[in-house]
Amino acid sequence: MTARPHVAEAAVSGVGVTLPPAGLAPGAAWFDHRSQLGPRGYKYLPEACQYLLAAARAAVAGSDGLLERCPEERRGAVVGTNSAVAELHSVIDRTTRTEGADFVSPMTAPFFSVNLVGARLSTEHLLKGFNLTVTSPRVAGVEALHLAAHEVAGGRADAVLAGATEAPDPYAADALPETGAALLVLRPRASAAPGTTLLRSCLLFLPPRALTTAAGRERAQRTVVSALDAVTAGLAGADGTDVRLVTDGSPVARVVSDAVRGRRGPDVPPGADVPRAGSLEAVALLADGVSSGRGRARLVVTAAREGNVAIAMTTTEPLPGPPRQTG
Amino acid sequence: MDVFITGLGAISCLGDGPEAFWKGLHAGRSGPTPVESLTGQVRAPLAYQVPPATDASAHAEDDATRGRVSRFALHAARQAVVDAGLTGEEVAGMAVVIATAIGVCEEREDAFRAGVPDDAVWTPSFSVASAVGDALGSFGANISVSNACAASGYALSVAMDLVRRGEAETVLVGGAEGSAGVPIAAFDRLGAIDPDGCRPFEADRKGTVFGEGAAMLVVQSARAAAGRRTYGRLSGTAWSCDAYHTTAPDPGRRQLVRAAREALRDAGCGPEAIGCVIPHGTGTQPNDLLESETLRDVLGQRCDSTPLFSLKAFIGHTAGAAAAFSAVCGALVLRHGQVPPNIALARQDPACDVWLPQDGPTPLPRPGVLINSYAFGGSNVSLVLDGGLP
Repeated sequence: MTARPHVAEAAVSGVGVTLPPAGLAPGAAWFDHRSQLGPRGYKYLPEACQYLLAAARAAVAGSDGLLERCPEERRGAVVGTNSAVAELHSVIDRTTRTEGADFVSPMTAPFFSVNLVGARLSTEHLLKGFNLTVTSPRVAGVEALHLAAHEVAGGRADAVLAGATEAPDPYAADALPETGAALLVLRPRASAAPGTTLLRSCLLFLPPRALTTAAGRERAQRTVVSALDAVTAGLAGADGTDVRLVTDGSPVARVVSDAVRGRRGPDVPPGADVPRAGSLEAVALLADGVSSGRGRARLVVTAAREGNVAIAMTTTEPLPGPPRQTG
Repeated sequence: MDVFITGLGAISCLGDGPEAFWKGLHAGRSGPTPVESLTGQVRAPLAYQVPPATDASAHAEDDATRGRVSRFALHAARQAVVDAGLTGEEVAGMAVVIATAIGVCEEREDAFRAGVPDDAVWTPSFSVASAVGDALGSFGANISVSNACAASGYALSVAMDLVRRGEAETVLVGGAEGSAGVPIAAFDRLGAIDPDGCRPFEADRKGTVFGEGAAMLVVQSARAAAGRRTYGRLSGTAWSCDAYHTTAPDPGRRQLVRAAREALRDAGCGPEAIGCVIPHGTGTQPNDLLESETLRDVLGQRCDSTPLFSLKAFIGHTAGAAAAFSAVCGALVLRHGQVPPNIALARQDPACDVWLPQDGPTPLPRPGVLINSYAFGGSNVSLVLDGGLP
């Protein structure tokens, strides 16, 4: 039985990003929670939570009152992250082993639970429909967008805040720690005005062990091509699509990169030299595509050593819908 | 579209496999053991742990390079796949949705304390689902859910949606946790661990105690399940969020009631169809009280004659895996047509006005099971299992 990756589709009604300025020295301060969020009530939140709240405020402010018009129980949130509380886990672990649990800060202790980073969105914006946290390696941000799009299309909510937030992983090893947040406000395509930016996405999995055989690589290649075609179906200006790869140099990434270049042309630029320790970059690229794309479709393809692959596209083209499903 | 449960897997403090799990649920007793690595560092270093002999024998040789949580998950996953009788091609096309609240953070800490090689690659904290998908060679969607103690309730719901949308014919879904030091230390600091064990609905309960292991289910479309022996249907799910407080549940209970009622509606039934409730029931004062009141609202007078099975008294609070264990338990209740006896309570909290049979198995009065799963952050999910056939 063949895996059938399905395309999710939603309209984008707002964008918010909280990212450090380009070229900032590693570890340099760049975010002041007091000026960004307010003088009280935010000090003890994990930094990934602070970034997320700031991004959410921007996204909601740019969504023309959509969220406020929705009943509270028809609003939701889906947040993707890999490393939002990695540093906190390390601190709790170290404190417990060296001094004992009594010396763990009671203000930060609850946030060992990674979903509390996203949960604060619900209390700030009264999102009572649902609040979901997903965490697949490197693709969690697009995974969040994908599930959110399915939820609004399936009628579980009328508006969903979805995206990624990360804080530096102290154990990033060969990867570059990520910091910041990027969020989109999604709504059902059917409820959006013509010309509204559309988001399409698809999640795939290519088992790394399967890639050691020719048959496995062939199946993986076929899966990626099929999903790429489904996500970009109906795109008139396909040749002008801005394609970005977010990869990590792994065998999975090589299969995906080859498939993308085979389908979209050899000029697709490679991913960054240093892989990212998180799931933020893909969502930040999509958010940037919405904000500055000037009508040009942006296709972002993410691949992780662990096998997770995500394909997402934003466009203002009036695509026919719904997209056909791959088979 | 109907979604059927065709395979189960479980490894827990009760032993290895669904049969050991079911047998353990009839033992009438259970208890936590000391987490040796935390002795002297937390006040109540306790957890319902997988026995060392079970832990050692359960792991196939080819899993030796994986961390403990991933090995639990993979072991239970293989059981579920075999139980469902999946073909190789079905496994290759299968989607995987696995929940974990804490992931492999403990293994990362251990590895980095031991020293990081110069050529080390980044190890993501939440890689259990992808480890299972890789080991089984499954090309279907692979999703990792981390909504704390309700995570596998959401995972079951996501799996159900994959089948209902036609995105997958077969989904492996479940949850896995180890006895990680970080959550135990955090709960200890918050005063939320009961040194006398996990004792939901007891009058003098003092908190919860974590448990470890993995619970997995294979769920399939009617077409894929046809001709197989099924445990029943996953027939309804619903989500809600309190949007109230970081750790405390909303005393107004509106979102708890809404989740349960909408799950029943999604299942196309009412409270009269429910023959057993597997509550979230953690042993914390507010959770058990608010859930009892919620069940009385949702079930009405039928609450008096609907048995509750307090699973966490047997296996502790398995956090991200908790709802998956509840679903495995619910599937076995449907299969056997009976609810195991609860561990005897010293004195049931009179404010928790629910029926917890303790004198022996209770015949399942109606083939419907309601499962509640709640989490920090006010995330709530309710699920309905029933005895429907493909």
